[in-house]
Amino acid sequence: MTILVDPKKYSLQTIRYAAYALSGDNHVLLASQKGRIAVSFSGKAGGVPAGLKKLFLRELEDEKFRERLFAENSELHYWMIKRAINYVPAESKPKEEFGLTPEQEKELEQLIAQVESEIKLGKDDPKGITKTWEQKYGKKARR
Amino acid sequence: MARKPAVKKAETPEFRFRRLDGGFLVTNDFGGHAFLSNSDFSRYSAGRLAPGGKVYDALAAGGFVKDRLNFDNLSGNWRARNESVFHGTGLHIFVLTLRCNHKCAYCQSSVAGEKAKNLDMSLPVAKKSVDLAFQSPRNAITIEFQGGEPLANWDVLRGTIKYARLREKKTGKKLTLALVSNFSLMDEAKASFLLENEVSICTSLDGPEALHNANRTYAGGNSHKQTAKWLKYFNARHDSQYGLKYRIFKPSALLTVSRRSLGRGKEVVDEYIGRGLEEIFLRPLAPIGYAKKHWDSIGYTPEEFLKFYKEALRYILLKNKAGVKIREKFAVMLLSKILKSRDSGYLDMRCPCGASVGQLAYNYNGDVYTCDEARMVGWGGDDIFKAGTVNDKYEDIISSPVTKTVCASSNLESQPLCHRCAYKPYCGVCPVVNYEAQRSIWGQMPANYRCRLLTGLFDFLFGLLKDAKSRAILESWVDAGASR
Repeated sequence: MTILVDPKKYSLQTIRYAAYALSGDNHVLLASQKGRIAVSFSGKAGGVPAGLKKLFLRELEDEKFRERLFAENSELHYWMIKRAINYVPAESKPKEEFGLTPEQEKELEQLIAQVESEIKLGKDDPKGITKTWEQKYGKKARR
Repeated sequence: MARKPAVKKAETPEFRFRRLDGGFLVTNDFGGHAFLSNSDFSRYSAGRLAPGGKVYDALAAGGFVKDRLNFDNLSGNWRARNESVFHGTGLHIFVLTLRCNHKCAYCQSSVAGEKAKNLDMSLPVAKKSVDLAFQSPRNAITIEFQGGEPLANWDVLRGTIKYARLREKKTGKKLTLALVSNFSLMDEAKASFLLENEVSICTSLDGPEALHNANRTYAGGNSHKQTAKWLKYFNARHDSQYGLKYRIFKPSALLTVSRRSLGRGKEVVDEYIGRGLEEIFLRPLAPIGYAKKHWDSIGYTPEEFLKFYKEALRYILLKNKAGVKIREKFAVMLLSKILKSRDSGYLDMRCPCGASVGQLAYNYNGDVYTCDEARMVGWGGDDIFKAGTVNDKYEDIISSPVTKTVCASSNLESQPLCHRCAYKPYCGVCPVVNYEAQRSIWGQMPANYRCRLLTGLFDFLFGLLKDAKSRAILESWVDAGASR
């Protein structure tokens, strides 16, 4: 069985791949014939399987679509593969185990303020350690 | 630094498709798959599928919509599925002897008789093999002892185990040891030594007694009886290991489906369940070695195998529904990639295949082959797949012309049919099987036995995934695999 295919409608690559896909049960010969591509099938078990022409025409359409799909996407596809080859999963950040809630934060600020005011009042500093020299003894006398 | 190319007209990124069960299956290299009706496929492939619908969202989640690509997720999926190619050889198969006391109908190992001479690995060769295996940059390596019957070379097996464990301590690598044995030469002392050294045990079990013994002829008596006895022993040791200082792995078994198995899937599954096994591997014959010579009497067509497989798998699913814990390993390995974008460790289904980069086979005489099947071809007198010897350095073997050629020929990007196949993201070709079956390492996929078998298998599994109940069981198998 020979099917003539218009190379203006299907590229040579498309014709070749479509023919190859059906080469399991058939011997396939491709030849140029008056500006067309003659695709000749002969069944390996003798004869030609029923429905082969319909199958081949469907393969041609599928291959044409694949060819367009690969051509339009090859740049993006290989960029994604390169990205995957170099991909290193982002390390998950360790959780902050000692983080404070807003309430705890507020409570802590209050405690700090309380301690600072107590220091100012000298409640917790009977020996005046936190006071400067001038605060404790006044200005130095001139010699 | 490479910049992301600008998005062009088409809204669909690269994908693959296949007509399946009256609709379309679409897949991509980044772990996505989706089932589409004919009308949805027409709209989608023409870039006219309306955003926002259920189908659109499912496609977007799978990486099938160009302006909704999640590059981190997709890159991570691709990387996880191909992780094995970045770390060096993990599996090292030591053929300790070619002698065996069985004469199995399908034996791929190309064995010799029990009393044959000069077919045992010597301890110096075994040590060099261990040293070579530890040169792999991989942090975790597995040494699998095979044959012939490895127990027939017991002293060398014992010495190699001790030496390998010492090397493990010295290098800090994680070492897994495994033994494939027919158990005919097993005794209590050997078994205890193996378990104390954390060697996992695997045997062959082809089904009920009559079927097993018909496939696996044993000069010393009843092969099935020996297998059953020691499976029981190792199962019992596994179940009573509490308090021991070493781990005892659950024993496993391999099934080789021969012509005799056809039509007996349920019996085979029942045999496995009855022996306390939780996994069964419905493994087809490979047309290489001894099996190739006797293909007419033991082989079958891909369609015959698929009929057997479907019957057995449906029966396993029924058993699961009834609460029996058993899963089929071939399905698990393929589904790991399909459902989880995870490498299953099945070296024949990698791209490139596992030859050299995933496994090395060390023959009894110190020759090193790209895989065990390649070693069998070598035994037949054709050393086309010999990558070196134990005297070579790992880096020389991994960069040898043989390794490079096998990698190139098993790269699906360069296989004209595979590159366009919807199952490409999950599949792999075997240059050794191609060479044996079609006299070309590249093979010719449209007429390839293995391709027809695997295509049928994928069709069947994807069909099952469309059924919610079956899918739930299959997903549980893969999830269970992650924790084992």
